[in-house]
Amino acid sequence: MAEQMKLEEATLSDTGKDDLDNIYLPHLMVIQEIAQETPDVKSMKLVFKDEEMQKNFSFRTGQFGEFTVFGVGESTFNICSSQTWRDHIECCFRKVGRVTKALWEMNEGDIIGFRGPYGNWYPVERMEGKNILFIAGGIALPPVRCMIWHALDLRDKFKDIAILYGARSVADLVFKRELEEWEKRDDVTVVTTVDPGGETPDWKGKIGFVPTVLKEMSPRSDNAIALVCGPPVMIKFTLPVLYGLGFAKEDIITSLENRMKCGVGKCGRCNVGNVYVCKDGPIFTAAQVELLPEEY
Amino acid sequence: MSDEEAKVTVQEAEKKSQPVLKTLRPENLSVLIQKGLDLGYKVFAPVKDGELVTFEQISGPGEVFLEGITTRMSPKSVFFPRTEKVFSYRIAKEDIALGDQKDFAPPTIILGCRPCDAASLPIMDRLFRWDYQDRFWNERREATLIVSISCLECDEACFCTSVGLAPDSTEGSDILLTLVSRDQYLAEIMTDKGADFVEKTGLFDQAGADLDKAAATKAVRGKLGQRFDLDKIKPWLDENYEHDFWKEVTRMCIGCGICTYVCPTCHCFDLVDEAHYDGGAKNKNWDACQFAQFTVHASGHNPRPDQVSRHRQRIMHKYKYYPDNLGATLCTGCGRCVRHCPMEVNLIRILNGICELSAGELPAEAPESK
Repeated sequence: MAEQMKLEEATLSDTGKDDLDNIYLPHLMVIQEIAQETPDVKSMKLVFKDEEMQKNFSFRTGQFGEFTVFGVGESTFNICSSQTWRDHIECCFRKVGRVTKALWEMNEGDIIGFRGPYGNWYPVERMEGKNILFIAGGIALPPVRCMIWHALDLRDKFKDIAILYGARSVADLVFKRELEEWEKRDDVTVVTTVDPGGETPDWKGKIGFVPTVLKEMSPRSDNAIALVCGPPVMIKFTLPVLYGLGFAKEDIITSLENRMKCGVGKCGRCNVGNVYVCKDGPIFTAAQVELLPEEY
Repeated sequence: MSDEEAKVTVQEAEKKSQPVLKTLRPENLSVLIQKGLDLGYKVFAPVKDGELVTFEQISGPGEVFLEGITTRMSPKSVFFPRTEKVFSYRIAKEDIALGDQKDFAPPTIILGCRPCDAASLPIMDRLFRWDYQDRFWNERREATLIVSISCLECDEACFCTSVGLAPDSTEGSDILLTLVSRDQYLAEIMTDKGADFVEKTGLFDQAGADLDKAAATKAVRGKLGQRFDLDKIKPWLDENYEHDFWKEVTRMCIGCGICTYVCPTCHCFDLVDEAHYDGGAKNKNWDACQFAQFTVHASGHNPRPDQVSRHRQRIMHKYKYYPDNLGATLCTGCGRCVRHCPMEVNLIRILNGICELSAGELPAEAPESK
């Protein structure tokens, strides 16, 4: 089953594996730019300290990395930038655990460790030529945002693009400046919403939970793929709406967020059923997720 | 064939097609150990400390204790230490310098390994050689010679014969010694690595054709019998992730994790930073699927929130997920988890319960106590 769950086969060179490498040894990256997205979320632009490494580094949209704050620990984040950007990578995190609290305190110019890229990626070839519906909730916009930029950078390859993004409150929306930028474009439909009570007097978006707003939007499911990331409760109520709209389980894609440590299928932490989320995922279709025990 | 399969096969190909048979006189076992030390090997062997018998590095044959059934801990820590540094770093001004680990795999001998422990090693190779290569495990495996001794005794917790092994299996051993008579070990030399060592020591004699390993271990095989039917386990697990049985059998489990620490095939680990004043290290530490902390997300959400789901994970991983992904049962029947559980949660009894359920019968007695 693990084999079947791979959306696309990785080749050795794609994932940068080398038998002689110490798989636990990170590369050094410099924090180039920090943006505070919300009161407790920051995003960072990172470049490899070694310029050659930066030049030669490649990854696929949707993969993740293990990020080390030296002396504190390692955290798993999706690489929230697109593979089409070659001069840096980005990550985004909420200040919630020990490592993210330490990362929060770091400054531009500081050095962190990076291992990766790991895991599979969005099935881009399958998405080309289709209408793409992006749905994200709260802090789960970053793993969707990398694919949004990927699609916008290669706009001709995709048909209609729609984005539905919801957060608890206006203050909790991440990448606000990019949301505004996307709203201005005439080749993307953007719908933002906040939970009832989370609006501000000048809020111009929707008020309501993501599944409700999705029902109102009622996007067409023919020749379409939906990419959904969010808290478990949002996913739980969003999937039935998508099924109601006619989306097949194979055409709904998500990224699982299990706790990881090694990122390379050894440490056992992200094992769910026959799957290692770090190796077989993190990208799965709803049809694949349905086969897993509910341990994600 | 995928790369990972190819690697496993390469390792298995190092095995000799037919073991070379020799003999060793029991009194020469001490001489053999001393030769190993003189040849510059690090030697690990069972050592008795009070009630406790564990694998320790020894400096002379007098320290070795070969009586009893299994050691308290398996020799997995020789390859996969409880804690080990995987890299170090040093802070210098605004910069960070990384230091890789070197010379962590000196020539080593494990002497007096039991066949169940030796068998755990090729099973674990499948994971550490799967896709990404864990050099800490792999290089130590390549540098280590395994000299095992067949069991002539067992206890109620032993169940190697129920997972396809035997008290005299050669899996994972470079040399397997079986005491076939009072004054003779039969030595089965399984690999080139083993043959080289045998030649270097000059202590082994040609074996006569009359030596019968099966006769020597017949009594213990009889005592072991078949404690459950392995063929019935996976088909039941395939269908019964949700079953009240799990609640019943794990009710007594307090989640202490001892079953995973004494287990020769449990391999879950954590990566932990250690900081000093101007530097530090990343350590790879043993961890256990039995702890709530193992899977809890930063948000507080825990996908395996209770002991039932965590205990089920351990059994599923050993008897379903690992066989499905890597083609081997992740258990060698050493019995340590049964022997050392403070709450008498008994894997043999649980697996027996599964056999009875799969035959459509209810377990004869409550499976959670002895």
